[in-house]
Amino acid sequence: MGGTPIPNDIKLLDENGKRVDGRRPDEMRPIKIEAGVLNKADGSAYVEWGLNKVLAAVYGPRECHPRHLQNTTRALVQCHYNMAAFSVDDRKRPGPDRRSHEISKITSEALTHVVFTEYFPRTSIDVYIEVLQANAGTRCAGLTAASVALADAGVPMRDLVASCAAGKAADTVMVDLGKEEDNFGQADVPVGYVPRTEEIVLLQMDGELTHDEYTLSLKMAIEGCKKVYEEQRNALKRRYQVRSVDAVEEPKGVA
Amino acid sequence: MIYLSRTGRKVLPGDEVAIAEEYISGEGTYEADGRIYASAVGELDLDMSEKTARVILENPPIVLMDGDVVFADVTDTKPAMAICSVVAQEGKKRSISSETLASVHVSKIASSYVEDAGDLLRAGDLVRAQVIQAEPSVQLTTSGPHFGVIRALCTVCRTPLERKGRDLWCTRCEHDERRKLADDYREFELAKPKH
Repeated sequence: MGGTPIPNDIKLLDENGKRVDGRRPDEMRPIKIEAGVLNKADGSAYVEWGLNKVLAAVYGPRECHPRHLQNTTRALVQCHYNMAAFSVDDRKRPGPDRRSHEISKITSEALTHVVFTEYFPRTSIDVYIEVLQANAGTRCAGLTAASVALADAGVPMRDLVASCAAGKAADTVMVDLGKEEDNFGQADVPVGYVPRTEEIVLLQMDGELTHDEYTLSLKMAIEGCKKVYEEQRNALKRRYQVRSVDAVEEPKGVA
Repeated sequence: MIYLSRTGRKVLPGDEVAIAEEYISGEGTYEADGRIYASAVGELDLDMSEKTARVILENPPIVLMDGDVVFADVTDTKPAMAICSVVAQEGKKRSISSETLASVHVSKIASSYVEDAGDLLRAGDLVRAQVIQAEPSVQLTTSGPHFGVIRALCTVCRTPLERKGRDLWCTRCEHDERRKLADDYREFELAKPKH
């Protein structure tokens, strides 16, 4: 499989071993995370990852509606991934589609592994992921943002989930594929990783890889996740400092 | 509560905070493989007297407990009880994270004898109440001067009722109604979201 034919003016890997945007194969796009960006949400986070811009908001744990979805022993982590109509070059038709349903499902499953759902029976933890600008790797950016937003909301969890992708383009295994590499490349392996326990909570692959290439992709993606994890932690530390200042200024009795 | 043992150390989920041989895992922590880890963002509290490691959260999810003061909407009344939906805990910005369906038994509405719960509470009333049981079902009481109805609507025309002596008065249909009133009827302040 060679993927979509590459336009003549795009060179996924040049003679110096540099990618379309000038990165080395093992180099990630710059990532910036901010926690607590929304006032009305219980927890929120904003992630800028290369040209991706993703907002995540957490509401709850709160009463689960419709009630027939309630689990009497644990909370439900319900993710809603949505791409804004203006997030891509050609206008995306608004509303849920097959792809966003899939990403919502896998993100919910990844987060359910780390959240102590048994502490909040019959409730729902609602996670809304809004992609404001997409440039390949939005499911990883969404999961990364959702994890920070959950921690910001004070939801008890075993560890943060960090996420990063690796893949193959121009017959080279590379980390954190950009848009051109994703569109015209040969394979993509997004990974969700829990650094403390070294568990993988999300693993997908499209395209074809040899066993060695797959192993290398997974290794590179996990290395990427570890870098993302550090950024997530720094974002929460910064948020905590801001909150401590707020707490002092806040009048008593009115929160 | 005074935390003499607050360490001042900020922890994040997944941070190792203690060894299970030394401390018991408390709120905001969990035990795995003989070690205690933080499960939330907050300040670490290692209580030497209780031998408990806990994390003090800035904005924890609200789980109702005995003694909590809450605001509740009365959704229905039966002779023996009023059924309510808890909407918020007093002084807290967050919504309730535990069961919100609650009831006030007729004997817990007021300190005096009440024949029928519908005599003093009606559907649509907003009440301030105290939790007297959180598990297995939420039970509230409106007994006491500060507890009871803080906003009521006319049962005929749904106009907000005004206080007139010990009763309530509807200015539109010009009739009075009785409720178990709180001392600050329609003068209360709900929690304001922070901006």
